[in-house]
This record gives sequence, structure tokens and C-alpha cells, in this order.
Amino acid sequence: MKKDFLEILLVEDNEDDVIMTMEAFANARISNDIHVVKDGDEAMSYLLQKGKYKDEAYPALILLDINLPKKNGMELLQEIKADSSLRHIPIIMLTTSDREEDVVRSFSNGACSYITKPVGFSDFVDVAQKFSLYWALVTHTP
Amino acid sequence: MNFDKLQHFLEPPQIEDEELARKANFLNISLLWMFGAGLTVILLYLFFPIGIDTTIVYPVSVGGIITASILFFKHFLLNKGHVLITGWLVVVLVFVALTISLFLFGGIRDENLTWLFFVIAVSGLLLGERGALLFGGLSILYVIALYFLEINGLISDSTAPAVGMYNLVPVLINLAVTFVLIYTAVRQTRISLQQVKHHRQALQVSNDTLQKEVAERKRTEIALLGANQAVSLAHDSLEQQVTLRTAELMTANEHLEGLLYAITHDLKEPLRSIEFFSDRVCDRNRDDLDAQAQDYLMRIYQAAKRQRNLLDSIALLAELTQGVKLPQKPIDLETAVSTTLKQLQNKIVETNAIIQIEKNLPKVYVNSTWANKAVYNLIENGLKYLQTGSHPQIEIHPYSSSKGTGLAIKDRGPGIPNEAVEKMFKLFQRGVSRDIIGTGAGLTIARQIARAHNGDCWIGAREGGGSIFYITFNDKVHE
Repeated sequence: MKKDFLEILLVEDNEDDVIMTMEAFANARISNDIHVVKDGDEAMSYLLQKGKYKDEAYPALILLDINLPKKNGMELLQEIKADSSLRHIPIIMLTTSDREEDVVRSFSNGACSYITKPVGFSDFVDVAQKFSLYWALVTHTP
Repeated sequence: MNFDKLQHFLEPPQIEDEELARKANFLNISLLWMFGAGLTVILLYLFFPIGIDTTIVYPVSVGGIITASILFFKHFLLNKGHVLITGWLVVVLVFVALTISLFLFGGIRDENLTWLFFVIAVSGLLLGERGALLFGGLSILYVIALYFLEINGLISDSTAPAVGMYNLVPVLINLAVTFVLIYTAVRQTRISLQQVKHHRQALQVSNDTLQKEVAERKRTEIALLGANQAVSLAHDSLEQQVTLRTAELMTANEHLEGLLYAITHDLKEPLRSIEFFSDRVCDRNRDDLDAQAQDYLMRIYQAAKRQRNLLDSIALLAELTQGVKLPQKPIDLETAVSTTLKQLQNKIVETNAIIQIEKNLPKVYVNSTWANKAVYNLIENGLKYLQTGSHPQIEIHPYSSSKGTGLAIKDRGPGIPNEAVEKMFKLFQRGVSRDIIGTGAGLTIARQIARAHNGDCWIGAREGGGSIFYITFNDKVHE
């Protein structure tokens, strides 16, 4: 069952961050459906359409935090990129870490962008707006 | 080939002992002369017999034949070092020759006595003072005996005139004088030889002393070697301790690093939420709040922001302590300055700042991200701290001294009293009241960055008011 609009999967365990991201996206007038999962395992179930997610479509984009309980973001990134049916989904790392090694590892594992979580509402909206520009591009991808 | 053999035969004997070699050499030459003289007389008599007195020829011929026979012995005897035996042999044979010539060829004649002088000379030299004395006496007694024999008619030559007693006197005087001369010569030679000996002994003594000293030194050397080994052992154990301590420190460092990361990153997480939501409330629910509630909320927001800046500064300093990688190519400080000015554009316009940059800012070996941060901190300082009612006036000059190469950034700020200068570089020590936004870490960070680049950062007073912020960096290729 394919939905009319494209969906974003946000993998984030911090509820504050979820609210901040949602609000910034709403403010930047990104009206896509954002689906939130709280950890890596749940994200995999969603992507592989297991259990309660059997009716979900592939998301058009994944926003991925690195610091997650159980399976962390970096492991999840590797797993998704290793799966031939999921490899095409663009992944943006959205994280508080600005450690160089995290950035390098993300890109070398196949992330297409790396965003340090903004501080303050206005910064968040800035990022969301830049993101929506990027979004316009990804909607053309398969 | 035969000539070589002959030459070898005639050469002086090879004896190592110097004194003995001298005697043997003398003996060798004398015998050669005797042989040569005898041979000449015999040859002359054989080929030109007329006019030569047979009284000379016969004794000389007998002497020559005897000498020739000794010559063959001497080669063996002298080379074996039997100088004394050879000397005795010569003496005895010459006495025999003289006696034979007296008995066979008609009495004693002056020319025959030449042999006696020779006997004294050789025996004296060979046997030393006492030998010379003995032979001198023997020779005199012998001559006297022969004279008496001839006078009494026991030996006689019919053709020669009879020998009178008066003939004995000059012969004896001649013998005595020769004996004295030779005795003196021998004595002098002995003395000088003894001096040589003493000298040699003295040398030997000093040699012994030297050898003792060498032995002493060797002992000292061995002792030193032992001490060295002890030192090396101590060094090894120290090294082990250092390795152990280093490992401990490494572990402690790792713990600290983990802690620092937690402080600078995990502590920021809740701050972000505080900032974000207080900001949102201020923004969205402004109308629902009274003025005091708005003020409190604003304070929450500012406090969170301040704490975030503090944590950022700590994170920066923590990162600096991990070391900075330096490039192999020089980087233009002009770029660092212009990048900073672009970043501070808004503030420059806002404060109506006048900024003058001298041309030809130096090139240094720096990590450009860090250098930019340091330059940013210093210029931002100049924009922040002002004398009331004035605009920022900043001049940026190249700087070079024994302290390194870098920049001198001059401002017209309030100036800093000398005793407060070093305090400014301490973390979170602020030179001004809290009205001016800042963490109090800017100068600390700038100095740490400079020092991580083998440079330094310090403050001097500017003439006509204000301060000069100096910063220097590494200006050589880093190995």
C-alpha cells in the first residue's frame, strides 16, 4: 500500500529532540509525515515491515541519531547500507556529536549528510529550511 | 754471488748487545787490517823480492797466516757472541807468532815490537782496565825476557849486530806510554758506557713507573665499569618505574577524557532542551505571561546559553590538550585575519569599528582552524572591550621577535593594569563585569592555541591608551 506523500523516518530516543525536530519542521513548512521510532531495533522492524509495521512503505528519508539505546545509530547505518533492499534510502545523521571521527565514520558508512543538532529554536528552523531545500531534490529520487 | 758471500764474511758480526757489538766490531776491523797488511807484504815479496828486508817479511808473513786462520774462526766465534774467547785467541796466537819469529828469524828488532803494542791495545780494549794492566805487565816482562835471552846468546842472528842492554830502555818507555794511553782510553770508554747503562736503567725505572700507572688506571677503569653497570641497573629499574607510571597515567588520562567528553557533550543535551523550550515559551506564549514571568524565562534562557558557551570553551581546551597537527606548508595569517573579519562583519558594522590591517602579515606553520579561532578571539576582544562612548579602533600588525612570528593586535580599550594581565589568561577570569557577554575563556584559548603551535600569547600596553595583544606561532617546518 503506497501512500500519496513521502514519509520521513526519525530515529530518535530523546523525546525533547523529537518535539524540537517536529516543531522546527512544522515551522519550516515541511508537511511530510514524520514517523518516529525510539531505537535501532524498532527502526529495522519498521524498515523491514515487520509486525505492526507490515503496512508501512519505505520512507523517503531517514534522520538518524547516533546516540541510541541498544543498537546505536552507527550500527544501524551499517545495517541499512548492507541491506540491498534498503540501501537506496538516503540517510542524514542528526546528532549532538561533532567529533571528527563520528563525521568521518558516518560518511564512509554511506550517510549522505551530517547535521549537528542546532541549538535554539531559530537555528533549528534554519536547518529545517535548508533541509527542505534538500528535500525538494530527494523527492525526485526513486 | 761470491762477492755477496765475501761481503757477508767481512761484515761486522750481528750482536744485539751494544757494548759487546762494539768490541766485536773493533776486533773484526783489526783482524781485517792485520790480514790485509800480511797479505800485502807476502805479495810484494813474491813479485818484487829485491830490496825488501827478510827480517820484516818473515814475521809479518807468519802473523798474516795466523791472522787469516783466526779470521775464519772469528766469523763463527764473534757471531755467537764469544768476543772474549776471540780476544784471548788473538793474544795467544800473536804471542806465539812473535816468539816463533824471534827464534827462527834472528833476534828481536824494533819493528817486531809493533806487534806487542798491538797486543796491548787489543787486550786492553777487550778485557777492560784490569786486563790492560795485566797485559801491559805481561808484555813488558815478556820483552825483557826476550832481550835477556838474546843478550845471553840463546837466540842469535849471525848477520845482525848484537843487541845491547841500552836498546831495552826506549822500547820499555815506548811500551809504558802506549800502555798508559790505552789504559786511559779504555777507562773513558768504560765510563761513558756506564753512563749509557745508567741512563738506560733510569729509563727502565721510569718505564716501570709508567707501567705501574697504567696498571693503576686499568684498575680504576674496571672500578668505573662496575660503577657504570650499577648506574645502568638503577637506570633500568627507573625506566621500568617510568613505564609503569606512564601506563597508570595513560589509564587515568583515558578516564579523564571520557569524563571530559561526558561533561562537554552529555551535559549539553539538557541545556539544548532548556534553551529551546524557554525560547519557544517566550516566543509563542508571550501574551499569556506577565512581565516578571517573561523576565524570569529570559534569565533561564540566558543562563542556559552561558553554560553552553562555558562547556564549549572547556571542550575546546580539552581538544587542544590532545595536541595539534601542524601542516608542512606555511599558511598566510592574512587569510586568518580576513576570515575572522568576515565572521565578525555584523559586529563591526554594529559597533562602527575602524579596523586597519598592515600589509604583508607573516606566513606561519599552523592548523588553520585553530589559528583562525585564536585570531577571532583576539579581534573579538578588541571589539568588545571599549572605553565608554568610543568606537573600537583596531590595528593589526605583523610581529616578529625572538618569541616567534605572528601578529600584534592593538586596541583602544580600557587597558589592563599590569598586575591583572596574567589573571586575564586564567580560565573564566574576566577582566570586566558580566555586562559584557563572554565566557572569560577567549584569551585562555588563544594562548593555548599559540602554545600548541610553539608560540605564545601575551598582552602589552599601547601608547596613548589601550592594549596590544601579541600572538606568535610556529614559523619553522615541524619534524
